Amino acid sequence: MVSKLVETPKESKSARPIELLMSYGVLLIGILLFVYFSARQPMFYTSSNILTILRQASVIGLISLAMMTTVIIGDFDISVTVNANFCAIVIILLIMNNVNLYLALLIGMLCSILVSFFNCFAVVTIGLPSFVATIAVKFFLEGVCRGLTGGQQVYPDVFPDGFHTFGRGMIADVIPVQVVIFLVSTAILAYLIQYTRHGRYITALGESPETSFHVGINIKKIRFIAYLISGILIGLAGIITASMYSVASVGTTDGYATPILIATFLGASFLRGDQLPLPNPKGTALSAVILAILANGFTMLGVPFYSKQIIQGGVLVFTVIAVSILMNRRRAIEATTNSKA
Amino acid sequence: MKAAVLLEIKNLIKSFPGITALNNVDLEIREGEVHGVIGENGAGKSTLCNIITGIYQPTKGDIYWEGKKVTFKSPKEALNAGIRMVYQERNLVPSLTGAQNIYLGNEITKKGRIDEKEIMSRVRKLQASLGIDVKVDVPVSKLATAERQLIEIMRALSQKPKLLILDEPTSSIAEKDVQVLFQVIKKIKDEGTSVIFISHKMEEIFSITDRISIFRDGQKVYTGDSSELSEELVIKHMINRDLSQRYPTVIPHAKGKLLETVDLGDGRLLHDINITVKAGEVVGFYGLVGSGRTELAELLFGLTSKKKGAIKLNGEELETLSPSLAIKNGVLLTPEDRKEHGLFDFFDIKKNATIPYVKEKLGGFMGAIKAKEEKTLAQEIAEKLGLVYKNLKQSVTELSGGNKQKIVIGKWLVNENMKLIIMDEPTQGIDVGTKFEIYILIRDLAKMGVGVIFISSELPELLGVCDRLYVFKEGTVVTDLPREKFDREKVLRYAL
Repeated sequence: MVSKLVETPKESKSARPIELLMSYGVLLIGILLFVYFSARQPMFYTSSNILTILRQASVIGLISLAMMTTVIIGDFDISVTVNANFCAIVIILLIMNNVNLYLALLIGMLCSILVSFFNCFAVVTIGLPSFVATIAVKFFLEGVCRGLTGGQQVYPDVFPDGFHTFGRGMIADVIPVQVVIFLVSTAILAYLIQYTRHGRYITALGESPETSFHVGINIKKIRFIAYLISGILIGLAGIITASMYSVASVGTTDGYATPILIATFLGASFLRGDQLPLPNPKGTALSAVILAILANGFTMLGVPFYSKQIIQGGVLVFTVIAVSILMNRRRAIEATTNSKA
Repeated sequence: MKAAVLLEIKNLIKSFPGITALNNVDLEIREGEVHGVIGENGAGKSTLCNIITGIYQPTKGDIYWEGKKVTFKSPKEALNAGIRMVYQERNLVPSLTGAQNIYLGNEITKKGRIDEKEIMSRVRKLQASLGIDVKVDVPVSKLATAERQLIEIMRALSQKPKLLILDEPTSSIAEKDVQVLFQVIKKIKDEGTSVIFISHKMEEIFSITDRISIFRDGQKVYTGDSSELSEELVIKHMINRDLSQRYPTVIPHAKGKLLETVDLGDGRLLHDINITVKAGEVVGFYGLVGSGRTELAELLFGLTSKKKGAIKLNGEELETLSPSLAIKNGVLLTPEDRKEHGLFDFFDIKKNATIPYVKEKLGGFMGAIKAKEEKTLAQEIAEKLGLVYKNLKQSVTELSGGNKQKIVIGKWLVNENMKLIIMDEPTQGIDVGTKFEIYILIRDLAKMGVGVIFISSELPELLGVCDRLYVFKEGTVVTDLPREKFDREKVLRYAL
């Protein structure tokens, strides 16, 4: 028996306080913020406001999940926000041209998926770093959006029945449709990643491309699956955006860009205990909600409009630094305790 | 009665731009045999395995698998054929558990969902049948290097391969526990699995293999029954010259006390460490995996901090230490895991070799690096080490393990400020010829007046090269042996 193989260190490897903090910290912050805002401003704690928060979280959340999926496999798709807007614009324009509602929605989503596939193609076949490729695509798409809308706010005179369901409808008169879409998407994505083979390969590819190659995982296929998922989520976000705002306009989703960046990484430590932080669906979704709480709360408190950006920027910097420090600490600890002697 | 041939390679040629890695190689692996492969750095062993496992395709030549001509165009194809390999460097997904890593790529599913229970039950059965005791339900990021290797071996065996290729499998397992691996190999051999066993360790190759193939400069120069070969003959074929000496002559050069630790402890594993190293002395650290050798090395270099006791360098006590402070004080460390800690993958040979000197020797106007000096310095270092390379602009990732290690060690050699160098497993995974060169390097360092701490799991080389030996056990030093008192059994008794 190899019982004497490694003399395990005397100290147990239970999670240290800071890791526990980061693990549940995101949830804690959310609760704290919620309590704080409710105390400061009674209007905060009304059902209509809570619904507003959740609605805002939904689109941000869906796009964050899309970006997160590309980040998990080791890429970085920065075009997601514009892609969602592109989808929304396509949908509105099609409706203005009397295309059947569901067909329009489908085509919109297909457009998002196509853009996502193009990004994947640029990385896999052309071999560009994803960040570079997707920045280029982002600029290109912005131009396309500008061209399609003529720089104006474009909207149809008449909306087909059912158009507003996604953005403004409710299920059982209690939960907004978009929130349901968001939560169900999070649940499905979490399930896929944790419990299915392809989900596992997505994780494996991101953490160790070499291992994935050596065990025979089809890396190109997994990449495409990840970008497909991302495209679908972006399509959903686009549908909801179109339905919510009812106008096609350049820049509708621009305000989401920073929260999306934050949410993708802030949730990386959620429920990971003392392991390396890794972006994950539940963490990202929760972060999106927290950011929505933050934004909403500040508005409620009448905080100046620029503060929001400063705060968000601050949170982003903090998140990146905290995650980096944790990852370095974790690596250093593992390097010394896992060395041979 | 000759066993059936499982894998046959005929006239294999593999060329890369500018280099012929394999030149007309013939090889035959029989069913149920353990076939040793040995050869120097750059002899072509890795390239051969990469072709067998489908990572590369031959430039010319034929491969026959179970009698049929094949070309493995991807790792998946080789895996499907029943070929599995455990590499020298680790191939694991850190956040997945041992069991999940073992079944990576071959997950058992029930209604589309991964059946973790079934996987775990099969892994436990596999563990029991192989006699391997390793935690398989924790993320492998929490396991030590040796345990991780066992997980990979289990992964390879979980799919009942027809051919198992092991590349330096005992490089990170302590000497005592090599026997466990050998039992596993014997067991699967009895079940008809063939094994290609790549190693530099003579003792092991002779004890476990049926036949041995010797590679040199891209060619297979000899295949023979292990029982008929001798160590001298193998070495002769490997390097085409006689190596009557395994270790350089040890001439003592010890002078004044250089390093001293007093009751040193780190609050975790290490405690009550009292050691001294003299200038010009080569001091060995030996002990089981987990006994504290590497931890002490990292403490001395400033990677971790001490909680108790003192570290004195040339009589002066060092309060806090960090790697950059250590280097300033002339203390250097060449790490064990050369892939992660020793080299910059994205830099070429030239840059990797000269990186410690960018500030002092190569700094030009406003910090620009003087190109000509950089090239000269890199050439000087490469020559001193006998590096085998194409040109300085080559990526370090293309070098063989032994040559990589030479750069990891070698880049410090031109450091005039060097007082104490700590080498953690400097000859791990390196062939006999290169090992000798490194031993000479170590003795030369001692001659120059540098103090050397030589950490190794290969007791023979420590006994062959060191002036003194510290034996570690459970976080502290249990004995201090001078060269006159070197005795293999004694050391082992202290260590266990």
